[in-house]
Amino acid sequence: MKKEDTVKLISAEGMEFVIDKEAAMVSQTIRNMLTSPGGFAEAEHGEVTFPEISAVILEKICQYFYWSLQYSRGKETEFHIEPELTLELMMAANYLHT
Amino acid sequence: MRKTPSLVDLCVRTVIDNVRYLGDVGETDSHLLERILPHCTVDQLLHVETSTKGRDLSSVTDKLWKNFYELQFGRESMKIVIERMKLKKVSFRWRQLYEAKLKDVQEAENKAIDRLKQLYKKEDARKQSRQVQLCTKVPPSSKRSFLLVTFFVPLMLV
Repeated sequence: MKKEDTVKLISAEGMEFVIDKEAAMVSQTIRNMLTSPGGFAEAEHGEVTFPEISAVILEKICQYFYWSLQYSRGKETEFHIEPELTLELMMAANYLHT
Repeated sequence: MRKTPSLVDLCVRTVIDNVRYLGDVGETDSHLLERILPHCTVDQLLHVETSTKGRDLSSVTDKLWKNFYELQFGRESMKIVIERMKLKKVSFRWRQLYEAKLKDVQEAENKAIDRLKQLYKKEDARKQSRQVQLCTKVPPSSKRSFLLVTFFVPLMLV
């Protein structure tokens, strides 16, 4: 995996998730950050920090990114969400336009 | 091929499936609550509102309470309330109106129950007064038969 094909998502606690750029682009918010010309510093470093999203939630979001890619390629499986994470996950997903 | 469901949609669906466990909704966006809270029963909605501290949810819940009011007390009663508020140029949250009305109805019910109880008591007392009374009087003593025996038996024996 080449470095320019990946992005690093950093949680509130500083936990780092390195994932495919393609997966991260599932989120409209991240896509804007990474692609808006000349704008965000995130685009240069390929790093995005989310001071309001905990590691548990960010991990789940990364899982969703990959699930979403598979789904769009025709692998229609269920995406399981633990009920106790739902509210927090929903808020984060809302923020990420995911 | 179906469109990939968004994570927000999946979460909303999960929350709705588990709406009976919903308590403090924290800072959840109002437009998300708009999709979720209509799935609550009266008790669930009340629980969510009392559990969510430091936030007024009435912008989302007021119309839900209005619905509950109409369902519970009827359309006519709802119209009367709206008319009265217009007339007096005041406005209350539908939750307050619902709770006030519920209290009224319960008080009226209690009064009716009390009245019924009283009526039953009265009726019981009336029946009691007309009942055949058992008395403990002993039958008159059988002195006469005793006398008869003492007089006639000796005669018969003679």
